[in-house]
Amino acid sequence: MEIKCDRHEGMSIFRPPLCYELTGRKYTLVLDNGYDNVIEFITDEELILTEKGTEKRYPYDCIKMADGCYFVNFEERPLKDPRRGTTIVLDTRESLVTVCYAELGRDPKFPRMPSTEIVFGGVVRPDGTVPRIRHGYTADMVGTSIDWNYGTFNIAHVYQSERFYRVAFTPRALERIMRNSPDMMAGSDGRPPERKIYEDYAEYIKIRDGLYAVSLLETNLARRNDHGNSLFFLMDLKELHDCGRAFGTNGEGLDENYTFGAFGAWYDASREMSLESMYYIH
Amino acid sequence: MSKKSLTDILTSCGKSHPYGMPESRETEGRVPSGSASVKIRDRLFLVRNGNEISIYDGETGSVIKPRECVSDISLDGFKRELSFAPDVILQAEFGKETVRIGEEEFDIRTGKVSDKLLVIEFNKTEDIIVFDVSRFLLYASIDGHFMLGYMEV
Repeated sequence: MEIKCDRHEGMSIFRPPLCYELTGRKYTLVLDNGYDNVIEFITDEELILTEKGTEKRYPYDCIKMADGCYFVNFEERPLKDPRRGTTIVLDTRESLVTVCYAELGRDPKFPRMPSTEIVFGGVVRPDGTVPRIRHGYTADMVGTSIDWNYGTFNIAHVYQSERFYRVAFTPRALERIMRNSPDMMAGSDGRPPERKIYEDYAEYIKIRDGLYAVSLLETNLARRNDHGNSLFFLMDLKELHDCGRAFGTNGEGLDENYTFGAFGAWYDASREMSLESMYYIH
Repeated sequence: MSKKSLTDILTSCGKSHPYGMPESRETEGRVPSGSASVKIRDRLFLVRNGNEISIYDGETGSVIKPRECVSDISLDGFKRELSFAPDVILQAEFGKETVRIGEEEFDIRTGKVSDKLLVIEFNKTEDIIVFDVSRFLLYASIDGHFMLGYMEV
């Protein structure tokens, strides 16, 4: 047997095995946008979502990140135009849910610009009640940074502030990029490399102690390169392991929506955090 | 052979908390009560019941002991960095029946579980590592604890 890993979509090589614990289960999601959705996991691969009275079937991926806490991702297939993907952090232990809706095609100038909407909600318990409390936006992660290894590359996400994130590369990551994908570092705006720092919109949500959902957008990448993704993660900061999904288009302009996993290590991003923003007045 | 425990080596003597993964409930009612299991492939689970380790196949319902897997020496000569804990990246070098991890060498037996899935047993302890070659992911039961890791791609 040749000792070589298989090719996997995008950065999904370290994706954990899919979880089938939800098969046969049905939940009513009482969302804070005023709508009650019913989600039924009819097989290991297919769910039915009843949304605004309309029932639709979707193929789905489910990854388990903690006891009773699941990351569920789906989008209508074949893909529609404009595209709309749904990712749910379903906490069956606490009867809480966070939904991330991602879209492409809202921006008339940049049709591949991703946009997202986060909706919180409760899950109807067996006794018919719904919790009053919700998952919430948090500042817990501000000022920290984690270097994530996705298998094919490393990237450090710098959790700059409550609404923004930055990107950094450790020396080891840079060496890897220059070896495998030198064009990732291409493009110049005249600034010296050490003063360039990518920054974009972020949202940080606390799910439980040590467990966070993070939404990152690549709007500046979309403006520059005509493609950028919505990335949505569920991170366990005690185990420094996460799962997530990439929704948008890839470097070749092809649609993508896939789940992935990564291994983390805390990174000292003091330098990157101190740099003046190239994109926003702070 | 080795003087340090595998846990000490993989976590730099406890300085780094190993990567973890949640236990799976998909084996409830299918494996002995009191067992703990983690999922290693879409239908396969690593199961620990006391000191006993087995691999449960959710598709067929069969239970395989690592020692029952056909011997496989395809890792002979394979060298790669691996990690089970943040900032603890170690060189692994495999021989036919040995592995050197960092500075320490261990006697092992490698068996084939299924396509691109190998189980590595450490002869002098009850430790095992399952290597999913398709994704370069590592699932281990070491000193009675489950750990998650990876081989550098």
